[in-house]
Amino acid sequence: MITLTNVHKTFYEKHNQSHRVLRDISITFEQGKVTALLGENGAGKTTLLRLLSGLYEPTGGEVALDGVPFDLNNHRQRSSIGVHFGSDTGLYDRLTAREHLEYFAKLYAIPKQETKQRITKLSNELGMRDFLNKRVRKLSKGMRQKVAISRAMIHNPSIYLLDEPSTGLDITSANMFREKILQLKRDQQTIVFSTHLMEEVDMLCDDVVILHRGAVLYHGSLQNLYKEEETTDMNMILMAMLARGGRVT
Amino acid sequence: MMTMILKEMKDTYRDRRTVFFTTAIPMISVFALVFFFSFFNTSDVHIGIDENIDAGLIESFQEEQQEHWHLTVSDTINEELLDGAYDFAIVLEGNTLTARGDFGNSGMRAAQQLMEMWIDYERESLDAWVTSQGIEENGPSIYEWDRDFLGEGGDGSMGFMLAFIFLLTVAAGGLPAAADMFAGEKEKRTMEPLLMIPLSRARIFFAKSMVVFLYTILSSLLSVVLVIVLMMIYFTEVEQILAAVPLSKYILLFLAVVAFSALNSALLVWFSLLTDSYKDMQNLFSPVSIVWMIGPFVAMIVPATAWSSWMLLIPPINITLVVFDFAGANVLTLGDYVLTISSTMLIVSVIYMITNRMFKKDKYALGHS
Repeated sequence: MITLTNVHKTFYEKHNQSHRVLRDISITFEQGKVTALLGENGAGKTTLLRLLSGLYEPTGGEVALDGVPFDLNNHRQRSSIGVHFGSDTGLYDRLTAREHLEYFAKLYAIPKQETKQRITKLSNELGMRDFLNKRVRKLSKGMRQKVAISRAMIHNPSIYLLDEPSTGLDITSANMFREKILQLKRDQQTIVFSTHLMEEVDMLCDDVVILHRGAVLYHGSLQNLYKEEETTDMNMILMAMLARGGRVT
Repeated sequence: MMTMILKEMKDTYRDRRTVFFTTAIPMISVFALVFFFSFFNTSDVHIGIDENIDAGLIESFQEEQQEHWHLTVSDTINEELLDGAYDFAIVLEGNTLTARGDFGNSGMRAAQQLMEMWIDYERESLDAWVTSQGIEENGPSIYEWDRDFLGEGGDGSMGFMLAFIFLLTVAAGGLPAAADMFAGEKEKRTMEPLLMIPLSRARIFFAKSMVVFLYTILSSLLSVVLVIVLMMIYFTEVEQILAAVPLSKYILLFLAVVAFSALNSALLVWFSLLTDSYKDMQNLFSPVSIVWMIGPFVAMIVPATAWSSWMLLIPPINITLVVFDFAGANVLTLGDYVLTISSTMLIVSVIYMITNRMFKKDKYALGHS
């Protein structure tokens, strides 16, 4: 479970100019639930994910994991998080897919034999067997995306933070990925992901957080949202909420 | 942390650009520069000698001439010089010996050496005359003047070449690895997953800096060894110079090279942290490699007897003086070497303290994302 209390994030630029990206966010991501982060480009979804991962420190407020304030030096807390950083996958071009996974497994101190088993399992689940030994430079965008997702999962974290994970995936791969998310949900893991694909929200999510200009427009269960908006068309709901944006805090 | 060092080494090794800059560039530079220097030192020089010059002096020229000199004694030397038979000629005019001609680089060096032979010959003749007059050899003189080059390296050309190539390659050698480790990772956004692993930023920083250092030291040692081997092949006197160097000086040179490589890699890391892309990093570091070249030129201008302690505190002058000393100047003491190494390592420590703190800030570790 991740709890954010009055969290805000401001970036300071040259000439003392500041840019407030997240404003007074207080939400809880429950264990065993899948939460979607929705909003326009620049709404603060990626910043929020980075903040949850510990990559950014909040300018104010507190982030806590299972009630314990997040501490960058707490290696146990960091090991409990798996992060996928978006379509810009951040992979090393000169390493193979397998070498990526082995490298990160080693950094997380996973024994060799176990690493081997996990790589086999992930490559079967996400359809990576054919290109496991190819260098990343030679892989398509979708293949790279799968490697990046696998990297986030290699150490079996309990919290998954995924930034637009299905972007670039073909229909088969996207379904494999969704199946994997549902399996993680069944295993009582906490999953937070950002997406622009509304059918994915409908298919996977329990909760939804809608961000607009760094503030939370809506946080609650998907079913409640359907009930409140009197429709199950997420595109309609999102457009309507964003249009009303300023009135909801 | 070892895992990270090994992975970074493997990843960097697979980059052709890095391998090229780390190994091929030093090798090409060394071959080119050694060839350049040797060409001007050993290319054929045609020298005309006026037949009217004292026979003893002509004999002295002939006995001490270099392998690539071609001496011709003639009584129509001026005409032959104008016809282009010689690069230059030693002509007797009244009681003056004039070196005349279109010298070129190797000719200049030959003319200088002939002049030195004449000075020796003059002194010997004077000594013989004084003795023949029944005067005690040193009787009327207050002092004697002698030329004694410090060490056998003499004119410092070996030191200049060694220092020049070393500084050139040390700057170029670690650059691709450093650019890759920080600026490149920010550009490709591979730093983000790395900072998520359960390792402190200080340890990640140390592992990456270590890789930069290892590539820098590999490149610089490769260039130093290669230049020494090639110079031994091209210049016969180098073997004698190196044979006279005690083992302790080889060790001190090695330590000084390691210290300077550490300084260069610390600066590379600093610049890599300041920039967000490979290209920016290269642009920013280029002036540093030019600044390094000040060292050899300072050492060429300032004679070994005028070297002072403050020079040993300033890189790249200090490492240049160490190389000059190794290559024949032979004036530095153990204390001077310790001063050079410790002052360099002090600067390295300060830079690493600053860069380690910088890496803890998202602005430098992650770039402007």
